[in-house]
Amino acid sequence: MISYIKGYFGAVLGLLLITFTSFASESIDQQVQTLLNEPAAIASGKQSYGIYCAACHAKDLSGAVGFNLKDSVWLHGDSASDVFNNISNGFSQAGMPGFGAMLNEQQRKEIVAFIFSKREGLANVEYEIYQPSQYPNYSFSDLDRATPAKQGRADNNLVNFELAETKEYAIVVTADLYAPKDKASMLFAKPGPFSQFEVLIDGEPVKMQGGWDRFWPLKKGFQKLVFKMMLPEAPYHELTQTNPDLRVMTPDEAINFFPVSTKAESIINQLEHNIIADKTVLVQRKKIAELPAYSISVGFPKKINYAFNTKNCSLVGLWKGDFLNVGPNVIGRGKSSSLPIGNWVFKSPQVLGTNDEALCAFNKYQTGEQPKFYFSLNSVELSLTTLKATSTSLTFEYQVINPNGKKSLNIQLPALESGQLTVLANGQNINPKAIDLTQVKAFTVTVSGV
Amino acid sequence: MKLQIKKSLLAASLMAAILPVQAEQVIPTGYKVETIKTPQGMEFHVTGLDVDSKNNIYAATRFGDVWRYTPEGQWQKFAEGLHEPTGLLVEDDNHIVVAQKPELTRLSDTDKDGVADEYIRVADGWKFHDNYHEYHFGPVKDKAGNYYGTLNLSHGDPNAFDMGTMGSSGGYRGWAYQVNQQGEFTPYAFGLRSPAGIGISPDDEIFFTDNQGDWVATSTLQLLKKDKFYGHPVSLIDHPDYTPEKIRNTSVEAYDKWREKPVVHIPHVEIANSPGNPEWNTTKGQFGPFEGQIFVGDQTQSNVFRIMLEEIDGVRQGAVINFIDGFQSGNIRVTFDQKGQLWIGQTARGWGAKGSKPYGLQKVVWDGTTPFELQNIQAKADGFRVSFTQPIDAKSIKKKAISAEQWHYNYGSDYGSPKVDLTQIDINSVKQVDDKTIDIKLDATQGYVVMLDFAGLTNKKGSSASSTKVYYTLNKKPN
Repeated sequence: MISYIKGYFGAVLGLLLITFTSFASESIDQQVQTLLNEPAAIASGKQSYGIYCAACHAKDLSGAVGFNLKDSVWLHGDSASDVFNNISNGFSQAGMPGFGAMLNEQQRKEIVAFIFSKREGLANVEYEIYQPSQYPNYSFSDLDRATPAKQGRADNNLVNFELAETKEYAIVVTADLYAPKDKASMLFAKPGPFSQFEVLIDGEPVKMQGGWDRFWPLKKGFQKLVFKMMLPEAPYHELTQTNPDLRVMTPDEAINFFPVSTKAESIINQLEHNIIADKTVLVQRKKIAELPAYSISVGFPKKINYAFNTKNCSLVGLWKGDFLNVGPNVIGRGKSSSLPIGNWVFKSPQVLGTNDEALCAFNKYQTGEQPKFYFSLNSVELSLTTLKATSTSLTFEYQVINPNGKKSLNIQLPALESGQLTVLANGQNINPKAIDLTQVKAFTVTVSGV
Repeated sequence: MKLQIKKSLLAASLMAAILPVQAEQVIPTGYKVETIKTPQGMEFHVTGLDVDSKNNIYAATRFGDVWRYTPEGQWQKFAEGLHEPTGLLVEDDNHIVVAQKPELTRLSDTDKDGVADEYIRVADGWKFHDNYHEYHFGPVKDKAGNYYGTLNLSHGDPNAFDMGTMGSSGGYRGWAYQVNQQGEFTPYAFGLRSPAGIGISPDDEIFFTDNQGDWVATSTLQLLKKDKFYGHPVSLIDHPDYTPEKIRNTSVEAYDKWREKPVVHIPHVEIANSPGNPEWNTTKGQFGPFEGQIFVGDQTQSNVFRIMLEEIDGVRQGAVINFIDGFQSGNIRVTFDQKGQLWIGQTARGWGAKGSKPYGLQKVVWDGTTPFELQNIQAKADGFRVSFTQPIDAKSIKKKAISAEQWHYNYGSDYGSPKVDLTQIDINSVKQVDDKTIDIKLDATQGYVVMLDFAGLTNKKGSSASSTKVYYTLNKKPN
């Protein structure tokens, strides 16, 4: 009897706890959802994130010591309340402190809202798999009348086509899809020939494009995805893929945002070939994410890097951190961009120099510990090199080789994500918009405090 | 039981369709292929290859490095950080010119320490849009000091003008260019698709190969001439007389009439899918009995083939025959060194190759033994004159020793063309001209590719040639 009563009270207490917890969780989920529509809260969350989180998870949330926070992988739960609790309690064994005592509840919710505002990847991935006997006409309309041979929910937010386990199958996947908010993207597949597809975004069919490769334009931000694939009747063409590469990319295939299928994940994971300027200054001419074509990158052992562009004769990017992961640009056909390993201080269209390509005539560069670029801007012959590189600053020196009769030079300065700019000639601050070439034979531009 | 047999037959035939049949390697007697050990840990996809006066081999890699291989067998890095170079020319022992995607660049070793320290822009008068397929091939340099290069069309560029497959976002994609000694860039010719190899003849004529695909029925060897159109309309986006609408509205027939016809058709799969640079054998006999002929590698088929040219009434044409196959990777660059050895730069990245290795460097060496092979083929009014490198066994010279067929190709936007009007040709007669030469009389059709298979012809020892099928592009039948 006593044990019965204990059991009863235990059950009631347990039920009360569950109810309370789920009530509190819903509340946080809802509150974060509300904050996601408040730009001020997102901005505040961004600020707190920058102070408390970015050192480990990277400013762009792409991960460093800490996990990537904008992809599909959420090891400790992907609801707002999960993330809120993780921020509050931390993972002491993994080296992440709890911020429950340091930040108030509102600050923690704002951080969650900021993280969720940057979210990319899939969530709530569910699949239904059909066998050929269920679609005798090889038509997607056959599936409307069929019961799936297999169905379930993906536990890693990726589509695993190998779950079909049979050579010939049709699959219908539904998922929440978080596309980048600030860039155009597409769902991209490499299925080989003869498979059929239907893709719906927010319930609306999307026209398939492409030839060898297939792609479907996506909306920005959150959307509901339905992806249907039906393999052709066996025996297949040798190039038909039963386990296709499916991912979200920029329309020009330059940037892989995230994998959608497990096959794509394994391919993207192999796209790593880091060039680290740990011993000497390195110069690399590659396709670089978010920089224009014709950019030449220079990396310093001090973990600071810049890119010079030969079409506008200007600096088009500067980043802190390691030099480059050139893997996406040198593996396979090398369709995608090399990735700077770090955080931007500035990037194109911000420039040190000009965006007017008509003013630029590039000549050459010299390698060494102080790579030097030779070019003309508005007919003024110049060279550009670095006098000093530290972990927080770069000092560039322009030398006027021949003004070719020009009396002044206009150098546009970039807006920086962090730090400041100083322009000096003969030890004096000068106006970069009107550099007096009758007086100035050399001047420096220092980017510091980055 | 019957059903099982049928099933296994079906399975066997399917396997045969998918798996390549293991055939004996084609390699003439007296030649061997040697593999060069490439620098450890380096992704050594060799897409630029040349030699200096001291017989140092210079290799440009797709990763962006230039390496020097000394006659003593040492590798030394000469330059790095280039953007996927796919061509290299040794100008002199201190200057190398590379074709990297955005620029034609001279690498200069100013302090003579053996490493390039200046990367000088020679030309960048075209546009590069960071599309992976915008390769830049070359350069070759003519006797007047002009450089020539070719510019690939793009693929999968969402901003490009295209007609289904390959595209151009403008800036002379699908053009060949010339740069003179003053550095002036001149768009030179247009209508190119994927012109992966450019070469220069001892007579100072520029030739290029183009890869099979849309508007290219089968891979080709073409003679580069100023202001000529080579068949791919997408490049016309940069032609002053054309708009996208006009390009789309111009008939295939009009393009066909306008285009330069290939000097040599290179039959798809049988000879090549993705040929590289044409290299003339001017080794003065160091490479055996094929002096003056053109050697080309193929990236897909992992082989090297020979081309023989002639001119009939001002019309250029010629024949192609396999030389050696079974190389370790995809052959994209070939060059003769100072000893008359043929070096082969290789890559299979992004596009498959028959050879299983992803990259590498090999060379073909001749040991002085003259093999029994086809030496040359010339068109005649009533057939062909074919000569061999050794005396032919007179007993083997008979009609049934030789078979022939002919076909032509469709021109248009389809991706490649099947053989059209493929027909067997009767051998009317075979007549010995001298101990190494025969005349084959047959009725071939002008404008067709004629394939002669002389599998039944042998030398005095009863051996047939290692490669017995020669493909002649009969642009002009002699009168």
